[in-house]
Amino acid sequence: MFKADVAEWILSMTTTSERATATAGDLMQESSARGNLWFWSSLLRTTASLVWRAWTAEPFYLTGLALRAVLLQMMLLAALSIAALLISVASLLSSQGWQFHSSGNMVEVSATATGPWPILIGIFSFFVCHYYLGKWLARRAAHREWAAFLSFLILDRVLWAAFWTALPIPVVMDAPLLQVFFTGIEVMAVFLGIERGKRLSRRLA
Amino acid sequence: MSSSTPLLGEFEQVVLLAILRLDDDAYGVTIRREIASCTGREPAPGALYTTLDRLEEKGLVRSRMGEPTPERGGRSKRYFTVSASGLKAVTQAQRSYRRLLEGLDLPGLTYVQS
Repeated sequence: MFKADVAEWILSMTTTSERATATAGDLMQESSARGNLWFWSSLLRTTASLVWRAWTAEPFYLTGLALRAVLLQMMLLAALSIAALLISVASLLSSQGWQFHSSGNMVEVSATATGPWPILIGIFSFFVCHYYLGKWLARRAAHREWAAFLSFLILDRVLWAAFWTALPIPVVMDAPLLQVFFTGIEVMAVFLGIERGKRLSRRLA
Repeated sequence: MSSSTPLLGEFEQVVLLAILRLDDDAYGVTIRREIASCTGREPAPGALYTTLDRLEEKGLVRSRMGEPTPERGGRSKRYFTVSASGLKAVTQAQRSYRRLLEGLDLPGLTYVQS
């Protein structure tokens, strides 16, 4: 029943849990005669219809929510970047990676072996930021988390693209695999956050 | 038409009529099958569920959850019934269609005036 569970989980982010259960059950019942391809394509089309309906029902609220989410993301990333930087500097200073050479009145500082910590701390901060963002979205857009998340993702990408274009120096994003990696982390973290937020809301209700 | 009766789209009418035809056994799967067998066109699942949600929000249909069944992975059916205002709305809409049909001679369609 793995596919029914997945379908129910996906649908529960577009409608109430009762409706998601019944719709997943309908798709399961029909898929016994029509096959898996029909099941997954129907799930995709049903989710798309429900997301579109949720968005058209409250376009201003969801756009405003997406805008606030982008601002929150920027603030969180800035705060976490500063924290990550401070931790990295502290870790570097306490390691043997830093070498101080003094000659006369000049002090030369060089980092030789920094290790993977700055990168790992950066990835972890990125994950934590988006996990929190998912929880934040789940609290404000119950049963229409997909619509809220997609609004955020589209607005986020548009604003970043506008930012890169507006920069006086041309920036070439020539690391597509890195972009895919970070988008994957972003999506995974936001959905884990949404799931956590949903569970907390259910417990409070 | 009275101002309190909501206007129905074509697909909304189709869905309401299918629920009426199915009586106590109207849930997602059977509604889709009924529409397909009567119209020859199978509605997309997404279109059906969004229409059912919309009709329920308008107060034209009511839904209740049934018992979980094994062939549905232990998931319940969501049964629909047409409410009094839904019945009124679909009757009004069909009356309008009848008036439009009166006096027309469509090929292969015999219209009997009641």
